[in-house]
Amino acid sequence: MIYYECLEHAIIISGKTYLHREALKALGARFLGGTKTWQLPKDPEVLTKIQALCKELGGGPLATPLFPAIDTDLSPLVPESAMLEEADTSRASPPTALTLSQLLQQLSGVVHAAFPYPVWVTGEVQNLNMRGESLYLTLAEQDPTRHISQALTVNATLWPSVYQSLCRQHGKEALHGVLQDGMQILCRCEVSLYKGRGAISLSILEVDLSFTKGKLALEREKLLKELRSQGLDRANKVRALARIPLRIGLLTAEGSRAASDFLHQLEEGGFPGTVLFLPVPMQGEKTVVGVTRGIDQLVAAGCDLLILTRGGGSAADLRWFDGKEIAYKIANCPIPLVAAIGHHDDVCVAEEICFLRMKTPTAAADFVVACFQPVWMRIAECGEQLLLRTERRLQQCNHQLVLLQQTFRQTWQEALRRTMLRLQQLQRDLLQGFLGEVFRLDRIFLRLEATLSLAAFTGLHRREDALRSTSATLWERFQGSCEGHLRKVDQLEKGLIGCDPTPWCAKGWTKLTLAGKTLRSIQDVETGDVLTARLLDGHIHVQVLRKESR
Amino acid sequence: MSESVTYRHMLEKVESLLTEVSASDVDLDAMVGKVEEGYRVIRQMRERLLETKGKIEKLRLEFEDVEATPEKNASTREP
Repeated sequence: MIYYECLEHAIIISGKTYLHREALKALGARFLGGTKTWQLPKDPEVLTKIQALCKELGGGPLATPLFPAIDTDLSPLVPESAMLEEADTSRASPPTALTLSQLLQQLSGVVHAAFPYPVWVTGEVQNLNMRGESLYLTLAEQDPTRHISQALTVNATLWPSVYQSLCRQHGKEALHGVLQDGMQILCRCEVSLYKGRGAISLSILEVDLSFTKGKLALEREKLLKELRSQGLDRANKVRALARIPLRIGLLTAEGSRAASDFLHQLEEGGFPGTVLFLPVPMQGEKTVVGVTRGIDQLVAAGCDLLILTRGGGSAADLRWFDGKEIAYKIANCPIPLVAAIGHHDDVCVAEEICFLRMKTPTAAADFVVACFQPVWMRIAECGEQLLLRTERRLQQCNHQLVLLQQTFRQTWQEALRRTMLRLQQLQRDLLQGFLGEVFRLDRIFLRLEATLSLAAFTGLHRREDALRSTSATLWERFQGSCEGHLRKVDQLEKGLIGCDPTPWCAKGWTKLTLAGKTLRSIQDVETGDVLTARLLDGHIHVQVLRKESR
Repeated sequence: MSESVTYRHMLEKVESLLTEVSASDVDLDAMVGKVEEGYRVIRQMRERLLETKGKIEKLRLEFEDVEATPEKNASTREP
């Protein structure tokens, strides 16, 4: 069942509305988280539809209004019963107290009744925190007469649906450019009471980006006016630029696209000098300190020209370069400073008062390279002059060389001719001498040959005779030796023949032996001894019968 | 006696045989054997002498033949 209550400007729906939230949304209802009710614009047509819805689903007008007095005035902040009880305190009965939840519930109703529609609120963003796609922040209002810690603050939330809607409407970068700590913003908020802490809570529904930008522009103009009044807006512009700025100081964020673009463009342009790159923060609270100290360091390092650059950004990103500290530092910088901070539409104070403002880091690098253009042109001009004079001198030398070549050729040819004649004469002399020597040697050789032949023939004949003689002697000696041998053989044969007993045995002679001993005397035997006698054809054994001496 | 026995050995053999058979107490049968061996060695010596003489004679004739035809030899010696 759902109930409705008609207020002065709105219709409040309560009850079990969750199941019918889509139907309520279709009617243009907006959920009020604080009271868990829905709010609709008070319109007869809407009221008719709500009544029809209540009839269909059950419910109807709320018997006891949630916000009984809000519709008319804000005075009855406590229930009637409480007021009655307060009136009866004289009767010394214990007072009826509200619980905190009841108090907060009633306060929530009062707040809602006081601010049934969103209101525009301005304040400074603090403690910005993004969780998921929800942005949580504190809106603060500084009182110059009070300490900073005593600033008025209200918590505000940018819910995901609103955040996405604003991103689509303004662009994410533009929105985040404004929603930063320290930025003054103007936003349309729904005011409610956060019962958990009993504090007012703002749900941001819309942010006016032009308000923030306009405020920044105002501050910027104020600072520029201040600088102009002191003549500092042109202080850096009139600094003398070195004729050849070979030592460049670069101030930008480390690893940034601006740094790489600038350095790359310098390299492409053939920059012949040195770049002292000092990385500094280019956004956030540390920007001011980093840049001012960086300028001092690079000036102390003896740079000819400073480059302060970053890759553009939103007005909020660039607001650090609209600050006094950086502006005065640039104005008092003793060397020219080229700034390439914003892009086309974003000209910050630093760029206004610097020596030269370039749109991009690449353009700043082009400027540095262009500083060398006259030098390059002068070098090129000198090169051309040098080439011209060299060519002229070369032609002179070439002419001299041709003349020298001709002279040398004539001299050389004459010397060659004389040398040839001399050589021919030497050749003839040499040939003549050679032939004379050959003839002389030939005669000597012939004489030697004859002598040698004669000696050879003589020696040969002598040796032939000796050989022949030796052969004859050898033959003779051989014959003699052979005959000697034959004679010796004959002699041996005769000796053998003399020793041969066979002829004697054939004649009947024999040899007697006794026990193998040859008998030569009768004294060698005794009667009765058996003797052995060999005959031609065999042996006989004879016995001694008697011995007779001769 | 084998072919490898030199002439000098054969000579020494015969002289040894002669010395042996000239001894007074040599057995008659042994003497006959030694004499027969002596004759055989002497025959071989004589054959060896005649054979050697024939070889030398042949060499001498060849030498004399070379000496008799020097032009022919000279031509054959030229490289």
